[in-house]
Amino acid sequence: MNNRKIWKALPIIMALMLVTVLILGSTRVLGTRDSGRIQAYVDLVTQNHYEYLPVENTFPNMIKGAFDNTDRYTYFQEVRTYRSEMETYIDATYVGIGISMSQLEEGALVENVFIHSPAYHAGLKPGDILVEANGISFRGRTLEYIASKVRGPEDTVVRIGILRDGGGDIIRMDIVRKSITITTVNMFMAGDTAYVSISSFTNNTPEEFVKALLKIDDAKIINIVIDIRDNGGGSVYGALNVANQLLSNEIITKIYYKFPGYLNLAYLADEKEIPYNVVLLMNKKSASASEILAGALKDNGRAVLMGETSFGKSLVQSSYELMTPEVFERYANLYGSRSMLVLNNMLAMNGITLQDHEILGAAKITIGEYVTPKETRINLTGIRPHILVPYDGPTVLRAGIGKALQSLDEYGPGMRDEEIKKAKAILQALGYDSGAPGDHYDGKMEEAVRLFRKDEGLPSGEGLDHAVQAALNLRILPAIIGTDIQLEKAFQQVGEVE
Amino acid sequence: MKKTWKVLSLLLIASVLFSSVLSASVIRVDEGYLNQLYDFISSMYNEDIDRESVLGSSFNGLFTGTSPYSCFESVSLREEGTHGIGAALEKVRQGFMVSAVHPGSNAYNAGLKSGDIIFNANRKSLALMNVKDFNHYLAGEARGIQLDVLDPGTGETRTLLLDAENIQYGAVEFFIHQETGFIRIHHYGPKTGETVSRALSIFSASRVRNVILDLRDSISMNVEAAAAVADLLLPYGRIAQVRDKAFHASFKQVSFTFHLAVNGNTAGAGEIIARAVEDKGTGMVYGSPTAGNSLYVKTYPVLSDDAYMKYAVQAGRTDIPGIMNHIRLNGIVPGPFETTGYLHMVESHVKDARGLEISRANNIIPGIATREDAVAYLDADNRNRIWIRKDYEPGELSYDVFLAKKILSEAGYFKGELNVSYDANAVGAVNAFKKDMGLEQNGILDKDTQKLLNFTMLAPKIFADPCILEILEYIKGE
Repeated sequence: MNNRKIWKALPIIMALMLVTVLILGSTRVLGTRDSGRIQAYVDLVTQNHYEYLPVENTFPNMIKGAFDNTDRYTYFQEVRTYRSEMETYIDATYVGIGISMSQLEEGALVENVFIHSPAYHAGLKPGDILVEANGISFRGRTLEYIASKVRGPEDTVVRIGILRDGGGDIIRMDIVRKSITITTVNMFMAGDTAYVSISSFTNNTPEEFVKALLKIDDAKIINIVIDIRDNGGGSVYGALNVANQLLSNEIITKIYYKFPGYLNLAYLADEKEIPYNVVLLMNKKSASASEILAGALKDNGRAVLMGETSFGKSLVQSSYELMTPEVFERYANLYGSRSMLVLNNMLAMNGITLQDHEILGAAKITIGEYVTPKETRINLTGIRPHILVPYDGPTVLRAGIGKALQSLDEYGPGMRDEEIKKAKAILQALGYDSGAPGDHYDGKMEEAVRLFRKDEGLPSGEGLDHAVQAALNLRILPAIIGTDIQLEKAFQQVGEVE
Repeated sequence: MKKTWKVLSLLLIASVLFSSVLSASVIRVDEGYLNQLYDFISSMYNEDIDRESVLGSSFNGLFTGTSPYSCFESVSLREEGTHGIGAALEKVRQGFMVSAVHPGSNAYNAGLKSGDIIFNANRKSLALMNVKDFNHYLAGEARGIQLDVLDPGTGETRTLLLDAENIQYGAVEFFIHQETGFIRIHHYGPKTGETVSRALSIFSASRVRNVILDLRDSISMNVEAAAAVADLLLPYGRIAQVRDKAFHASFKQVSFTFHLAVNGNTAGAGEIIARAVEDKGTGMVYGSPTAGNSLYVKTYPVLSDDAYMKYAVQAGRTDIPGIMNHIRLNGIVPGPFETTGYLHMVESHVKDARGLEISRANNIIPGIATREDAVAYLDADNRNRIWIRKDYEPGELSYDVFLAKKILSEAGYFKGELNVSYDANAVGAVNAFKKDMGLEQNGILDKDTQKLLNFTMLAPKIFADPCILEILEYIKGE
């Protein structure tokens, strides 16, 4: 069996990185003098500006403003935002609408919409910007605050407002809050091909993905269509570990840091046998962690990429606490350096944690970027597919996957399950008498499955196993695919992959 | 009784003085801390960003919540760029404000309007970019440039897609048509007054009596340039006043009747000119009421740390106005690396000659209302515009010469083969054209002539513009 190890060692790598910073960061002597120039210009402005500038905002606005000539992911974080982001915000289960978000000035960017969640059924899409809920504007609000307004008691309604495609009018929709269990990997097998979708990357995604691969291995299937369309990213750890399952002794991604004190990193996959033919489906909303996977598979020749050029977001951010000027002076005197980086590292090394009142907030800064194994930069440009197939309609994940038998389990006489109900309906439609409709695996069903197995020439086996499910899916494949021509082309392509 | 009043009023004056000293007293920002923060950001942030531009965006933060005209502008060490989009731009905090759009340009065709603020180009922020660097950036990107644009009036944003152009548009365009002069100012800069003055002397030489000055769809907060233009239109008197100075027209004879076209999208410089002409009665104002928005933006150089200290020591003062005074009085020109940027700051409203602020309540209401609000000739066909790169002597070959011949033949000056050679026939046609335009007939197809040719090409369109048509009818009726 393949090596299905999931790395747990990322924190150690991060710690190593920090040490290199300490060594190199402290050698950087920063030579800016305090000549009184900034104060002189501030005086000029406050004494001569025509419109009123509130005194108490002068210093905070200058600090926030210092981040304004950067990308949208680099900004000053208020203490509360910073603290809440430090806690992971993707729980295993919670009551909400089923999205993951990241902070923007206007509100929250919807990174992922979890499949079968209320938000998914309401038509929310990755890339939408959440700007209000129940009439409360989210402009300038913290992620924690936004999440608290979106979540609430089960079965209550929240009226959210979003901006789509970067502007226009606010679109409002009512969504009923439900208990959400996040499943990020969905699959089905059809004939000799397996379809695996990854709707977002969480820390649990690798485990889900490995489970799917084990089923695929059991069915002796090697053709896999992996679907990362509309996957806006999420946990980098999740993407690295998924990529690790599909590569052998190859580089997954590299991180380039701007600051010379941070050493550039490369992630290497374990050595193992990789038997698969992979077609990777992606589109213009595949972003961030998804692009790490796409770049890894493309540059190592492990997959044929199909669909559209990906979004092009491969930036790495880090948050740094900003001390208040008084606390800054205290530690500057203590450690004999006025470099913010050195002081932050000295605090970390000495195990000193700053209290809320000792910091102004945090600087969240884009400090580097992921590049593909062949060192192609993807930020803003995205990754181009080998085969371009544009498509804007509903994907199989949104429209058709519910029609397929999802290889969740194998079923036999006497059992009851929703998947059995689906299988009965499919057999009936194919002309086999599968008995009364419903979720009960009765005698008629047993006979229908036996006949179907014989007609299809499947190897002998027990009941509604993975092989029968795959054969049934193949017979109804056009209905599953629907209008999703990207998927149709992927199924055609994967059989031809060497 | 009188004494008590005196004491009271003295007390009042003293307290006012004291409180003004208090309010003028320093708002302390922790400079040592800010300096470290700027170093930190500029060394950590993934893209190259020098600490002076971090300081610049920090200054921009200081202006949070005010009108967009107060801003920091970085200094450019580049030559003038050759590419543009066909719009005149003025620096504002988020990026560039479109002060006017050129007839037939890519900017017009893409739907850019004067007053729009361009804040992103290909998803990159333009907050700290200056116009020269923007032109160089456009030359590099060239095709399919994605601009994010804000309409400050409605607060709505939209995305436009367009190609850069390497046509050099004139900041001031002018021509003569049927004994009427026409001038449109696209960009107000240090040379605007000079160019308009040159146009007027050409008009004079051609015995033009009536001059149409098109100020529609034009926004600029350059008060100095507006005053320089207004000076040319007035025989004497006050033009406008701002916080620390007043602008006057010199005594002279003005031999034209001016016809000014304005609309709801005329703001700033156009309003100052229109109000001055209206006041002194040297012309008529046509169109629809103006925006009523005129601010005085003063510009201060931002000195580098070293330069600040050097000049502070020389001047014996630490405040910026004091140091600037020292630099001006001693005729010092700071070196190229001593100025790291400019701080543009709104210092007051603009008051007209009567001392009233030009505002929404005191905008310019044309004496003669015309029907059309928007400039109708902007969608001119631009493919035949001359690029204006150099002067051509007889015998030279260039595609520009071909374009010039084409325009001259359409205007009836040139009959012959349309090719790229500046031959004797073409020289004759250029001289005939120059004669009509009041220029020296030296046979050189110079840049001025090329600009005039470009605008002549637009003449049929311009003189079919509904507002201009009404002005022409009015002139005929006189």
